[in-house]
Amino acid sequence: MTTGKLLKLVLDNARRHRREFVLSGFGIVVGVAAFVFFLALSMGVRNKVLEVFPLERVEVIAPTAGMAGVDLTRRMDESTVEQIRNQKVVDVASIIPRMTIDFPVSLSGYFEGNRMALEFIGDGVDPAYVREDDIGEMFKDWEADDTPLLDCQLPKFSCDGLYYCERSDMKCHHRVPVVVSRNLIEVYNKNYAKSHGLPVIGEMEQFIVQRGGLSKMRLYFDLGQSVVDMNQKNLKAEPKRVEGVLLGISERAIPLGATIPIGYVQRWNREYVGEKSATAYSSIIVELKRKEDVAPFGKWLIDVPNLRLEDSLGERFASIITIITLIFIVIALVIVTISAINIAHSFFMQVSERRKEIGLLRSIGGTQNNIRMLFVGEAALLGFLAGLVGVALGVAIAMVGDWAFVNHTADFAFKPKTLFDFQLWIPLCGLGVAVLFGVIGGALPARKAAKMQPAEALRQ
Amino acid sequence: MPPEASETVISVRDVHKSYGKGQATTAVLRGVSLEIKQGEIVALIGQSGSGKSTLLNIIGSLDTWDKGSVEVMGIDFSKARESELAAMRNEKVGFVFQSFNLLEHLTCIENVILPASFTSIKENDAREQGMEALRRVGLGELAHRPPGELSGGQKQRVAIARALYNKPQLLLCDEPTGNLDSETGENVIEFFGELNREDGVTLLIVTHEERLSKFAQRVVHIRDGIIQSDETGVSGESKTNSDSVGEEKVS
Repeated sequence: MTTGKLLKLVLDNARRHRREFVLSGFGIVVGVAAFVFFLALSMGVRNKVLEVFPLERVEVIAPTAGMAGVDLTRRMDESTVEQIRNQKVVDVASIIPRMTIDFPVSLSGYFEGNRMALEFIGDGVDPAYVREDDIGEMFKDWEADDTPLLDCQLPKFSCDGLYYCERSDMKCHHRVPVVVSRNLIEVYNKNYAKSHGLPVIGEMEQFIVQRGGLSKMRLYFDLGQSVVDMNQKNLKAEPKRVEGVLLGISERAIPLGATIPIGYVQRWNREYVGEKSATAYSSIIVELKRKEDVAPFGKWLIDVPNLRLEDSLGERFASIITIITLIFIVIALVIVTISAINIAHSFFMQVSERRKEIGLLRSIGGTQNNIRMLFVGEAALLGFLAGLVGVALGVAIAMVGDWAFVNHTADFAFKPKTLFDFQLWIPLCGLGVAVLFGVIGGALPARKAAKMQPAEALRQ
Repeated sequence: MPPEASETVISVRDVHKSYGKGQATTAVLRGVSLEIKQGEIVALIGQSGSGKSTLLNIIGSLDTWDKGSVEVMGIDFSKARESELAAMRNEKVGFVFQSFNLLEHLTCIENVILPASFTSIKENDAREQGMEALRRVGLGELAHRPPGELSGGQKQRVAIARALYNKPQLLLCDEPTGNLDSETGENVIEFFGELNREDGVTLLIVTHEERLSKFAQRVVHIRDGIIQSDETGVSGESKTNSDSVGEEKVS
């Protein structure tokens, strides 16, 4: 029996039993719709999460250790970076050491006419790491070399452009370039701006232009001063004020805080704390070429340099999402399983009703296998058609859900435009599940039909 | 291996069959032996429950048996694979049933070419061959009607056309005229005679009807699962073709 002829018989029978088909395929439709819907939903949410917290970008930290009050935490410095660069376990795309400021710094500035002051949270990174087009060449350590600085213009202590007059040496220093992450802007826009009646920042560039350009993006760093604790002791230098400029948004900036070129942090740490503080990295951001490499890299870190990976938020979210997805998929599979039982029931009835037909087909040369394939084929076709409808239904519900989500829920940070990600494999998988469970449902009835004694089947 | 004239087409030896288990066992066939040669027309006569249909089904490889041997057209059923038997039913044996067994959702021609579903012949060739069979039974013009629109006699002729589709050498008929009025039944019988004369088709007909048994060259009576008599040459027109393999008396 050729496939074409089998298909023809199957289609004939499907046409003949339309009603039974619709009724017994209903469960598959619902199950597959749920399957496709939840898979696409979890993929969509997962992608969004991993966009905010990429898996392949990991942070290496030194585990804190101590004995008898002595801090034994391993220091990370340039040799650690070298060690990571030279390891052969995984391919590394980039290694970016980060250095935190080891003494209190408060940050203040005027925003929309309000003076704001807060404890500075931020890191220094290698400027090469931040290379967004709109930030361009400006994000760098302006005082990395010994280029002589201009004197301040007296009597107004003024300097040209983005330079400011530093009172301690009466020289014009370039303002410290600062970038922030899109995450910070998102959090500001969605959670802060509205409740405080402040403007929402749309396009950062446009925002800066509207406010009068970069020269208005002025920030003040008060080194050695804390908003929280006013009495700072044990610092090797007197407090001083340094000016900064907010350049814009960088994907590479730390998620919640400001990011500045590492050179400034090194100099400030050396000046206020000491040499040791100027060479120790707080963490090292490592971008791996493949996200599958995270685990072997983590193992290598523990085994060799005795460091570890900071728990990745992305990873944690992703595993929660995976668990939730699995629960929903199990629910969807329960639905299709019940519907497979329903199909089996309906097909058993069909086999009884079509006994004579089965006997006839056997009498004109059908083998047991032909009969089995006929019923399995019908069940597969049923599964396939129900799967198509189910996929369409799942997509339709997702579209309605998206519409409701976008238009009828409150704005929040990182609110995506769509919750769903219908990658091609999802509907294909849905169809596969539908066909599979159709076939599972049809298998036993098909077996019964095949095993039927033709003479018995033909009996009046 | 095509059977030559007077070659044995059907050979049944000491076949037993019973239904049920334990106390409820009913013996349907109790040691039946029968040999039929190429070109014979044999009527198998008995009351209902005598085992005649069961014997026919066993010969057609549609039923199983418990003991004995069955060989049809050189195929030993006990050794044959299922696919071999299916191929035999497809190519060499035609079945005609009392209740026609036409599929109502198909047209007449589609019913006739249903056996082609199990071969690799092309649809168009199958249709051509099917039309030939339909014309042979005189229903060429009804090819595209569904069987529901046909009379009983016409339905049986469509069923016969289906049985003839692959030009079988053996036709197994189970009460072929049982659902037909006497005139249409007569036509069917005449047609069987024509098939036998022109194509040398061997016919084994299960019946309880007088006229059919008169038409047969050989009449085998079966009762309670045992062959009671095997008479040859009842019909005046056919020549004697005696064979006494029945274990009961032969007259």
